[in-house]
Amino acid sequence: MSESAIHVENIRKRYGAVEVLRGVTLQVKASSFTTVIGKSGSGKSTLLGMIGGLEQPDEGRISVLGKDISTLSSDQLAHLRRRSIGIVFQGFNLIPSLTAIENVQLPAAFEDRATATHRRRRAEALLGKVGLADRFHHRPAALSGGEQQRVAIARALINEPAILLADEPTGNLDEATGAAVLDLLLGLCRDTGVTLVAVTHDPDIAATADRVIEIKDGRYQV
Amino acid sequence: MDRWRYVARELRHRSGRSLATAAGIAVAVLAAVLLAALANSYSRALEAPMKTVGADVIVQLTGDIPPKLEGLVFPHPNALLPAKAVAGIRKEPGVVSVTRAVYLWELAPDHYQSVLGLEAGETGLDGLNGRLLQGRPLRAGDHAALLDSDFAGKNGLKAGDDIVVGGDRLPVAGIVDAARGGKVVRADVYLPLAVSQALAAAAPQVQALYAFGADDANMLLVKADRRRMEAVVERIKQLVGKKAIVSSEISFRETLESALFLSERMGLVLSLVVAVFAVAFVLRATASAVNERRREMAVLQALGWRWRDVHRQVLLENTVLALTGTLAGLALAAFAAWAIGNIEVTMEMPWDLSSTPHFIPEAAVDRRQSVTVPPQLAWQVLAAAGLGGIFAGAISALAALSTRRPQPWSLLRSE
Ligand SMILES: Nc1ncnc2c1ncn2[C@@H]1O[C@H](COP(=O)(O)OP(=O)(O)OP(=O)(O)O)[C@@H](O)[C@H]1O
Ligand SMILES: [Mg+2]
Repeated sequence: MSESAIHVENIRKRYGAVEVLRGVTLQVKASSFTTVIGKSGSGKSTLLGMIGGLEQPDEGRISVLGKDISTLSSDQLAHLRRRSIGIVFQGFNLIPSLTAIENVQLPAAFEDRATATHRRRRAEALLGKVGLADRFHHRPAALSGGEQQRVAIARALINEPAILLADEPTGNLDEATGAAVLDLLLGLCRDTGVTLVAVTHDPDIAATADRVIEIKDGRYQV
Repeated sequence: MDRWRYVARELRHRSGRSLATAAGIAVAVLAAVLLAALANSYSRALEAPMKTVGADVIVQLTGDIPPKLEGLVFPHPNALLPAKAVAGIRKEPGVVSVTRAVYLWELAPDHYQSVLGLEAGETGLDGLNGRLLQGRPLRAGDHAALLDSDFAGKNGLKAGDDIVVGGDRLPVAGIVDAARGGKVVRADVYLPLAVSQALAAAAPQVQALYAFGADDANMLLVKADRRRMEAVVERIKQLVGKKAIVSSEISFRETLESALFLSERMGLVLSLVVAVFAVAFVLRATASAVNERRREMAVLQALGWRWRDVHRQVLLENTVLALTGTLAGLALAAFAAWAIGNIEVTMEMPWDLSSTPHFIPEAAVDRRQSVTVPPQLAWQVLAAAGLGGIFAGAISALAALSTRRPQPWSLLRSE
């Protein structure tokens, strides 16, 4: 369990005149809980997006589960995300036309080995675990912020990913709800050995992590 | 949750936009189908006058006015056709058959009748016999006549009575309803060609102008290979000479189209404009729908959908809309065709083909022919419009998607 699930090597990223990341290097151990902290605008979301293959670094290399993702085509990246990486966004990014249970099943829409009923059962089980057993058929508009965030967490876990990237999963929630959601997230990941990387502003959350990474001045600080 | 469920949800979620897009396609399909049906009706209406005669080409030659307007005369557009020209036309490639005819007017101070002598044949006596209402058919060797039903009615004549033509008393073999079919080359009295030739040869006002022999004719009804129609018409004009009057579908088109079809043309142009605007509307609506969903498409990509999966989803949605719109359009077109019932096209016959002398006052007004054609929805048109509608939907989706392939990250990071 000690091999690294994520290996970031000296990446740089510039947006216009601003160099957001100036040579970040870090390794994340499999099945560990890592938090990323830093000031607003320091590049936390950018780093997460790059690990998820949604954004390319200007320089440097990122390996995920032993694969150098800069060599992958966009289809291969999609495949990697579908199979191995769950992403929870800073905004919930649920599909407004779909119900909770349908949103959760969305990433599994192409899993050929999963039959429709199997997929549905898994989605029901996940929604049950996040405490939304009575909200299967609600649209996002009919759910509270905390409920939406929990649907997003269930959605990120539907394909049983090895890695879960969570960008401020509690940022939009009040303190109590935020704590509950985080507990849930941690519980789910610990149970299944998922590598969890979560961005947070909350020092209390950061304190519970196996490891805290602070981004400052475009660099990773211990 | 599968693709189809997602398609249904998405379309329902944006029901206003879905409806507008489907309606746009329905309008385009409706306009296109009606356009084709109208165009088809008009061109069938143009063929109708010639069809009622049974000939493809009618050949006449402009003649002179006889010194006295009395007894049997040739109508003004019917001069003696040179036998050489007739023989030449017969040999022309593309000419299937030639039926000779003699067309006469009999003028008396108190009455008038038009007389047409015909050879045997499909465009001649046989065709006429096919429209028999009472009595018996007329054969080439008979010394008898067939009467037009209107004429017979007006004069109280029936099969078995006698009629006098140019002083020759003939038994009435039967009554035909040729007049009802059209106003082209119809007559009050129909005779076998030989009888009419003998009458013309003996008529002083004919002989005053032409050396009409016992085997001459002043009108030809020609059946031609329709694919070679234009060439045949050209050759006939050359053979008969400058004064030839050659009527065919082509000449009908030329003389009737300009004046008569102006209003209908407007209808066609309008349908075309509607179809074009509807398609443009669908294109725009799809483009903005796709634009609105860029973020959603980025989310799907982040969840592991390949771009081609996203692509297919949008294509599927639009195709479903297009299919719905197309079916609605076709149904509306069928309903519209049924509601319109028949399209009536009224045409003014060229003077040359009018069966009554223009100087007879009661006849002068009646050179118009109304042709009623049901709007025809050919399956090819329906299939083409159907495919076109679905194609328009798919193409607009592809066009909207091709403009930009979104970079998912730039859309996802902003809340
Ligand atoms: N696609 C982009 N185009 C232009 N600038 C960008 C883009 N992505 C990020 N940036 C800029 O890079 C910087 C870092 O952005 P990022 O979203 O990673 O910050 P963050 O650490 O997640 O902040 P926050 O805590 O507010 O979420 C910001 O200044 C942002 O404006
Ligand atoms: Mg952020």
